[in-house]
Amino acid sequence: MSDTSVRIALLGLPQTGKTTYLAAFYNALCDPDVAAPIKIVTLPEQATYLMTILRNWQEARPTGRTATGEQGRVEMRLSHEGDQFTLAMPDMSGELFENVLRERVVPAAVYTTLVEHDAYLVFVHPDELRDRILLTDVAAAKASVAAVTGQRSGPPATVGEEFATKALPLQASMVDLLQAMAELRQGAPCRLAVLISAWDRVGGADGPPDRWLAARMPLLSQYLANAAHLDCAVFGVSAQGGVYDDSGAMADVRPSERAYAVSAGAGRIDITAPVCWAAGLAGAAVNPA
Amino acid sequence: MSALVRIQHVLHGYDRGHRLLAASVELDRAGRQLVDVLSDAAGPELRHDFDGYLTGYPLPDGRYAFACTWYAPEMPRPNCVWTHTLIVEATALAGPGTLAALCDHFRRPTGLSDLEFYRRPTPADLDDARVVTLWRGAPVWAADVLGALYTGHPAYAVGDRHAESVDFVMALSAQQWPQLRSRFSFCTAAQGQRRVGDHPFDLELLVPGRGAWGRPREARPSAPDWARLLAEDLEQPQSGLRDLVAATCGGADSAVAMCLATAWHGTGGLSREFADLLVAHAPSPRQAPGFKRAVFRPGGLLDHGRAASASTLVDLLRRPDVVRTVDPADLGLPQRVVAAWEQSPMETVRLWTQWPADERTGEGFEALTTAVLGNAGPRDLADLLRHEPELIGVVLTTKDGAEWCAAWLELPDPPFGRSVAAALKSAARWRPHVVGTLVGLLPDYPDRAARVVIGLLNLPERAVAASVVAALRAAPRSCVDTLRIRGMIGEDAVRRLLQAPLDPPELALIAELTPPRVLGVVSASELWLPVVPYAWRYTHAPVALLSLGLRHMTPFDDELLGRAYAHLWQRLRADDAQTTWNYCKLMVFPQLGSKPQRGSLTTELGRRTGWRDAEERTRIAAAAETIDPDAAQALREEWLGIL
Repeated sequence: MSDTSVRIALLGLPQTGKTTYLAAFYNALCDPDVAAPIKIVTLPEQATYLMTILRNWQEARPTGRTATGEQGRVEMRLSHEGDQFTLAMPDMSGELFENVLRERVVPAAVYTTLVEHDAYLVFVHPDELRDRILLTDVAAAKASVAAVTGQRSGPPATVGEEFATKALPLQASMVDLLQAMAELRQGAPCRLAVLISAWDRVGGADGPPDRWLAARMPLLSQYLANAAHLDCAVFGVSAQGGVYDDSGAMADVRPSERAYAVSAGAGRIDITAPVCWAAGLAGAAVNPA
Repeated sequence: MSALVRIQHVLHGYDRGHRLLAASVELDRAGRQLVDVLSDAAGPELRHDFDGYLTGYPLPDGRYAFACTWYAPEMPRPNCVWTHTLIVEATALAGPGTLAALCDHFRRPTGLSDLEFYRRPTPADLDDARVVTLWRGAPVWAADVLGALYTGHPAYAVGDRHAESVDFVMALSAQQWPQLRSRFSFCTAAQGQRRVGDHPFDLELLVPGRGAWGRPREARPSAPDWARLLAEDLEQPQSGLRDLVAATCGGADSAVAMCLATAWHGTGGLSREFADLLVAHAPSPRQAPGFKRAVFRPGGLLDHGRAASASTLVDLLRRPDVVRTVDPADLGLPQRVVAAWEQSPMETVRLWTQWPADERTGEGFEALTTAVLGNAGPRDLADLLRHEPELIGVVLTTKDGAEWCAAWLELPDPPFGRSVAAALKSAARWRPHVVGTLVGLLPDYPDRAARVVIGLLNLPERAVAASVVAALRAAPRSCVDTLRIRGMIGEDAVRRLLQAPLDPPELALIAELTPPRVLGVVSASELWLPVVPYAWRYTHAPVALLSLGLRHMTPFDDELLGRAYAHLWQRLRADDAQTTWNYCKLMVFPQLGSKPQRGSLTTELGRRTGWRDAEERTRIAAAAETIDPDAAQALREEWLGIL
């Protein structure tokens, strides 16, 4: 790979694992025990933010949320198979993306993130799916009630509920955001990796990540499958490596063995794989959606 | 003083993301977006010893947001906060202690179910006059921070002790005037650069150890005196300074007005330090206009509240760079100059004369000039010009009436003549009517006026000399006679004039005013080559001059031309230049043959040149006969009458 600069944006609503992934990724770059295809060459000039989240990650503490007014500056020099390149991967608060959905206005910082990057990592979290009751579920429930009680009416419909983005299904929010991005980018092609956080808890019950996405977030999956301008891949990632609990057991696990990624084509792979794929590095393990 | 204030509440906290939880007021979109961001944690990692930090900033709609942020460890994620934002009208911050008083209204929620308090506004009787001082002493960085804050730079310092930072901001706010207080943006526990729109916060007190933002800023011994004074005032309020700020600084003033007011208070007037600060930090009249108006308006602080005086004018005019920083309407220079004139005319005149030559195009000098010239009498100015002849140019541009010119003529001639000449070299200042006035004074001031007019004629500027000729032509005959008797037009001047596009009567005038010897010398130059054969240059130059005039003569110029011709003839006869005279006739008379007015001219010539000499009369009459028998007959009759 020639000496180039790669800009990858992290997209995702609050609490979907962006910062934790960044911490695990940074650890993999720096940890010689991690067999990652990319390694760090030069530490970032402003490493305060990275060091803060890395310290929390290594101590198996939550990395902490990124404040709305803050943008974690991540720009570092990396090497891949002897070639060097610069990776810029700013970490923005998920609230900023959520505000776009609510206000229907794209602030300058978000605009830059959505438009001026070469590739995107889109984070979704199984705990934040915010699934709502579907009309088909309501019909089925009504039918069940009628069958049991003989009454035709179901429970009263909820009316007058105030709109709140936090109640929107995650897949609806993400599709809305991606549509906005496509419009702002005027259909310019790019790579986009979907990262399903906390993959260790999902456990593969629904199969590999792409199948999980199709089963649990069908709207997003179908949107990606039909977005001609997007070159997509789906990864499961376990950035924490497991659940942090009061016992502190996770802190005893070697950092190099904690975080990992999963793709349908390659199984368990190192945590840097999504970035390598998004950056277009040769040999990156992928599984096109 | 107390004021009933309506406090609006906005509460932000973490509920699957940092978001608005409750509010008593609906903000517009811009305000909502700003509060959403600034209510979130000020950095990636909260420090418990900075819990309850304060943030203040103006909202886009003009109201002021004052917020307290608490760490929320009960939330499921690190770095979650509660932020209670109080929103008040900008006018609610009128009192010095309002910000400190508002602190009493912050309330930390106990949980997501404890939101009712924030959904209703609170009327509050703020103790806005409370005294807020740094009873624990000013932080070591106080002067340094104030120095940056009030000279247009964002100010940063590391606040090791949060309580100290909060005290500092509250005391700082109490020093400010209301409008500045309502625009003041700050954070007492910042971890990175915070902004209101595109503008960085005015003041950020940083949490120690926060990377590039956490470098301690040590108190520098070089902190300016005014900033040290301001820092001392935080500890021990000097009512004089705060009264001054309250009385002079206003809504349109930027923060730099605080720097200026403190410097003014500390140095007691238009000191060099104050003036230098003014020029360095508020060079445009648009900067701190309210404070500048309070200082510089007539009767303002510069005048100690009294009527404008000559001494303050002198102070001002010694610093033209300061004058340029103030709106001319506020400075009231014309008023000041008039006042100065009334108090001390001579001092004002002296000020005028001592004004640096390279600064004489500015407004200050113009105002002074207007006052001096508008108030001084001819004798005052004559006295002035006697000592300051280089100012004659300025004087002549406005004082060009007969009364004034007569006064100028009373001045000693050598310096006056030189000064007039120097002044009139500038075409921009050239006033032809000044020459007319001077020419008109020739009969009354024959010696001086003649010397001046001849001096003008001798100036190398052809346009000046030409205007002198034009003035002479329009002037009564007595003026020309005076000049002819007294003046001596120079050789170079004649040469230049003959190159100018003069009309015949003007040429005739020149001929009349030119001594024969000069004409001879001029004729020896190559100027006459096209007109006169080389061998006859000396003697025939006057003829050529006259011939030139005849070519362009109009019917109304007969008398004048005849007069010039006669004058030449008399000169030439006196010099026994009979040949020249004969040549005159030879050259001139044939030309008359083509002129409709030849009869009257012949009569005029004959009357003036030949009536005393019978032989000459005969020759002229014969010549006239060949040209115009009627004119020759008229000439003879006239001669008979005369003889």
